[in-house]
Amino acid sequence: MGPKEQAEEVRELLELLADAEIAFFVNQVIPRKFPGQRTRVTWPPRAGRPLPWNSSRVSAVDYQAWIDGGAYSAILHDGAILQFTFDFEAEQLVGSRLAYIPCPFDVHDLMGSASLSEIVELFRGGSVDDVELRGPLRLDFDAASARPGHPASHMTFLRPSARVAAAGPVTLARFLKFVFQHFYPELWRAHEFLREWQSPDPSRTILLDEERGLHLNWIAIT
Amino acid sequence: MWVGRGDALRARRELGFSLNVLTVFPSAPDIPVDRDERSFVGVNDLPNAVQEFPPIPSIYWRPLNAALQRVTTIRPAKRRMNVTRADSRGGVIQRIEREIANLDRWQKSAAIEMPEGPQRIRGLAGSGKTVVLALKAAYLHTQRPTWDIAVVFYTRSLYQQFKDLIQRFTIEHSGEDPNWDKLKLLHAWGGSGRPGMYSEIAGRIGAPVRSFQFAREKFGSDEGFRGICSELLSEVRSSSPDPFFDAVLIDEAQDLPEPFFQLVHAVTRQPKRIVWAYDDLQKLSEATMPSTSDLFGEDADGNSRVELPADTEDAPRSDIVLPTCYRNTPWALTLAHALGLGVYREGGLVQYFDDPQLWSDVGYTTIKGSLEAPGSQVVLKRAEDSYPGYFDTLLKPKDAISTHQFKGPAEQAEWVAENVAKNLTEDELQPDDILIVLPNAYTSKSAARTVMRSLEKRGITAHLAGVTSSPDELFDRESVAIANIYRSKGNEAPVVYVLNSQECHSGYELLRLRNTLFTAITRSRAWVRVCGWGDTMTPLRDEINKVEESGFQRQFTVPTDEELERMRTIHRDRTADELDRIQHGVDGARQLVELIRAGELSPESLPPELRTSLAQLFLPDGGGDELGP
Repeated sequence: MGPKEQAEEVRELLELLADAEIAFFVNQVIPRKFPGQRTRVTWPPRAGRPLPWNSSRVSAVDYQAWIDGGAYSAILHDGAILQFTFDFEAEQLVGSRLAYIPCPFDVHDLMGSASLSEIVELFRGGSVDDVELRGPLRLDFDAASARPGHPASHMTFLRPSARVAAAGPVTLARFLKFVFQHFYPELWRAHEFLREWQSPDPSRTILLDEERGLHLNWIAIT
Repeated sequence: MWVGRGDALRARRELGFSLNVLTVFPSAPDIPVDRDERSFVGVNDLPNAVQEFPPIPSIYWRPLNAALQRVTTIRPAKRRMNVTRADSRGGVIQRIEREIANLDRWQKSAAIEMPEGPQRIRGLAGSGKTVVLALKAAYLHTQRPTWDIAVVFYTRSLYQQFKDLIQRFTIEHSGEDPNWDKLKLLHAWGGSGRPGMYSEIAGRIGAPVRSFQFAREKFGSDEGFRGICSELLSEVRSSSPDPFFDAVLIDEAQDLPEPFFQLVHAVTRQPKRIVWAYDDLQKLSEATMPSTSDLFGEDADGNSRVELPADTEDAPRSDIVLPTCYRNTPWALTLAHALGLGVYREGGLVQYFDDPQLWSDVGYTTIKGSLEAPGSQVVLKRAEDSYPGYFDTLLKPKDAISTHQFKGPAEQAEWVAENVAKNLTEDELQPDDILIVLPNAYTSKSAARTVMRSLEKRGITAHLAGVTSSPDELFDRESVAIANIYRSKGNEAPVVYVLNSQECHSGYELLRLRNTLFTAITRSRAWVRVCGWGDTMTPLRDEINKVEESGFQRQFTVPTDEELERMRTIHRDRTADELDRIQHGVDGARQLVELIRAGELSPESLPPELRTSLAQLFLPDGGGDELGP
């Protein structure tokens, strides 16, 4: 799958999420070209907004910055953010980041009553009792950064240093199923497209040493 | 006098004109023999003395005027590096932005005049009220640096605008930055990390600072702020704290509830220098603001806490009208008023100004007839001094306004996207010069998606403002803003696309719908595209055509008192219960029609009196004499 097909897949998925009202809001997908033959398929960047995940810890401040900066592919009805980014060198996938970032607060009942940013700000000014202890989850692929202790494909959660090896780059389909089957089982049961979505798996990147430890694995779809 | 950079005042390295010094005395002076007698003059001889100096070339008048007023730009002129042609839309808006640099005499005097007591400033949106308040705050602060001054606003995006303006004005007047401990910028409410007047007052008297969630749960979303202000007011009245502001300046006063004004009154020191500025026509049918008596309430003896004295010639004014609208073209404003009021609507006027004087206050002049004569025809037009001359020079009505009807939302979205693409290329505009307005807040997310997809196909980034992101920022340098009508308020853009306009043509809550159309069109600074789809767009398009065909004049029959009362009853904003009742009635009527069409019910089987009522309702001119058997 090249950048054009990947962009189409993301758009199609976002439309379905919006139509099913699983997503509160979905963003555009505008592939960006870089020098050489590099293309990034992600949400459109906004002026002056830094890319996410720059800091070593992630807090409600970052969550709000992502919301304010439009740094998301979709926002779900409980305020959770989905971020999809794919990097290509010509037609070859060289990097990806699929992130699920739960909202730090229980905003479900307030969605739509004000902007999400305002709602979050109100919670941030309120009691620490309102904070929900749930961390973001990221599935990354970056062949260029692979080294011992840093698998080319990995899952990061709780801490930036936690990189659990994955069999290979996680596709949109696998990510979708993982998130909805485990975090939104009622939606998973209600919507066939979540269960049936298919994307061909790229080649495996996991090393033998990485396979010896706890890791993510699956039977590839070609 | 410091003329700043004064690039426009220079001829190469020199000042473009010579400076002459003249010392003026109250009466003809005794001039020492060793002094040039032409340098000294009595005030009565001043005009003759000035005539003897060489005239200043006319090309320097405007920049010199700006320098003398100590305002070179009211807001940062956008750096339009992409503009290569003076006649492109980018070139035109660049010239408009430069022309706005000077304060007019109305704004200048409104900024400087400060009575010993309250002051009301009103005018159309775009007449410069925010600039006037900012300049007034800076002026007061530099004249009275020990005063505690508050500038209050409701739309959060105004914070940065006020900060920039006040900073610039204060530096130009005093050479120093403002002391933000003495001159506070306060949101009306306040919240986490954001100072607010409500939270400031509550904090000072030790009262709980209520959150948005609390307010919403206890008083409802619409009345939340009013509710918590009333609650706080009771505590303020019982604790009687010492006032702690010397002057309070309030922008967007039309958006604030009466208890808020009474709170401000309680915490402002005598002689209650409270300045409030509001848009005359946020709601077209009525004086937007309650009376000062209703705003500030009455004291224990039943006397109004605030009364505005009649203005006299030699005293600062307490009631100021800013008559010139800088934001909107006169054609867009006329169109917005005509549609908002329903001047050319088939069913007649939807709303009307309570006070005929308001027409001239907001810049209309009577060409024919009289507004004081109910039942008679009157023709109005925008007075020439109600708008700056550069609109006539730089724009044409046919380009400033255009109307477009489509088969459906997809076609509408494609047309808009195509034209936005043109705006960003051959028109030499930038993404934050464009605003796409969606009148219906409830459907704005899905409507925005359709437009965003069309823009996405052309590689144009767009965002739906305020649904997810902070309401402080509507525009983004690299992204076209789409906003529902509530998020659009208070903002403006050179190019505005109003989508789904047909939704505002008819329906119950017609007042709100027509006000929405008014607000949407008046977001435009130069070009507005009124778009809609389906058959219901046709009558709206017809109304707009009539406005254009009339030469942007307003011709209508002045309503009688009975007609005004009927208008208010039928078209007023309705409560949720009333809407429920109406909805049930409409559903019932629809069901009845379906039953008759399906043959399950014949019209003859309806109760006779019901048949009669139904028949009468839809006869022309009320019917009554031509009923069938």
